[in-house]
Amino acid sequence: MKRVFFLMILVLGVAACSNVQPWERGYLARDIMAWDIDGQKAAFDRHINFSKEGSSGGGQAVGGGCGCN
Amino acid sequence: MTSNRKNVLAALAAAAAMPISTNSNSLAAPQESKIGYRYSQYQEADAPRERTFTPTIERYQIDVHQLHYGRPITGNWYINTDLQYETLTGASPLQTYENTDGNSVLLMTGASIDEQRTDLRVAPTRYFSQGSIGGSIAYSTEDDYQSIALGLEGQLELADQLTTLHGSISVSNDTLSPTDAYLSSIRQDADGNDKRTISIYEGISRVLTKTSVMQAGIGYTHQSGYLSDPYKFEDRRPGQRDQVTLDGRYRLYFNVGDGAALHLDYRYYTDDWGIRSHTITTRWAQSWKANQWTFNLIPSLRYYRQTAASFYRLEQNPPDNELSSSDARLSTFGALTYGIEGQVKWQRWLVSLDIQQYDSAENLALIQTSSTETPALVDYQVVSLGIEYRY
Repeated sequence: MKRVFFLMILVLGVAACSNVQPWERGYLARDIMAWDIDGQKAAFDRHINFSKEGSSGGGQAVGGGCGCN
Repeated sequence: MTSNRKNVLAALAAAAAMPISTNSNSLAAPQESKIGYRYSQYQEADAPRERTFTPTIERYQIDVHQLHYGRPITGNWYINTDLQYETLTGASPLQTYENTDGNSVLLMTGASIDEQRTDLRVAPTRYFSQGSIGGSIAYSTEDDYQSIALGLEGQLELADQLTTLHGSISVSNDTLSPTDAYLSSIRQDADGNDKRTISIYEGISRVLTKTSVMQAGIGYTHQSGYLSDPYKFEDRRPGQRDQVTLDGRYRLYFNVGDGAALHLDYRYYTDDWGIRSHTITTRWAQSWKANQWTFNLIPSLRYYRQTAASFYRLEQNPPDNELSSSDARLSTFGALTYGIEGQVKWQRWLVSLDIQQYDSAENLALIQTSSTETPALVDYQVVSLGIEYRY
């Protein structure tokens, strides 16, 4: 876990050097660059994985759910 | 403490109440209303006949209807509403135990399960010039389980306009009411019991270049109450669970066709039940345009592996005073998900078709594999068709 954490800190540190102006972000605004291109699909996939695997979470706070036996 | 440190801590505290935006691009309030419907058919493969003691080997089939409605309301407010309705039929594992030959034996329920689940979520969000803050309330009900969850989430853009802090917090209370409680004392004991969850997430996203952006975050979830499964034999789990996640997401744009994007997602998970997992997901989102039509094709590959919970065991009759579960979801295993989604956009309409295949197996854990068989591990296929209209 420590290794993963330090790797993330390192990447963010390198990222701190960037300087992209607001008018240079056309590509970043494209639908295909979204964190979740299809919100309903992403929510459904999270629900299935939550109910079929021993771990869940990531990307947001989690809570509530189903009996999912 | 320096003023810079104070500012950073204040910003983190302010962001502690926020969810991750689904878009990597903008903090502005959406101006369009959106209505979408998605139908999915989920089908699990049969349990292995040679390892199943009970007559039934057919597992779940689930039909899922999702309805989404989002619209701007007064000022800088936007509200999202999601309704999900599922109908489920089939059978599920009761217990797995190891026989004297060292083979695993699977017991399944009869194919008599037939139930429905309805899930409603309403989430208003207020947008500001440098961020947003939103709340949510969700209610899920099925024959034997009710859940209510409240959430608060937000995002805050820092002065450099390249970095955004994200945060969210959620609390929920689930209540069990097992069907056919007269069949077992375990179900009677579980009836009316609660499962409580509190979860917090903090994340940071950063524009790296004109064509790339990344996000990283840490999450903590605490569960308490009745965490066992009353429908399984010899299932006695701890009454508390602490979970931690570390995750990162990366998006890189390519000038191919009408544009393409590489997605890389990673999550590390650990909890005090002894489960550790790694999840890697990659997608290639390819876009083409022809007149007023836009076509997106999005193949994806997800790899998942986990270690077993410390109390996972395959004894047929473990001592009553010891923790125990033979739930395959608590075993050591790995899984691959292959998927492809196609999208067609025309004017204000979007139609999508998505197909996914999920295969899990003991040896897909790749390292630290277990020598015990887990016949209850599931393979499934999902086919989804969606339609969306913006106005």
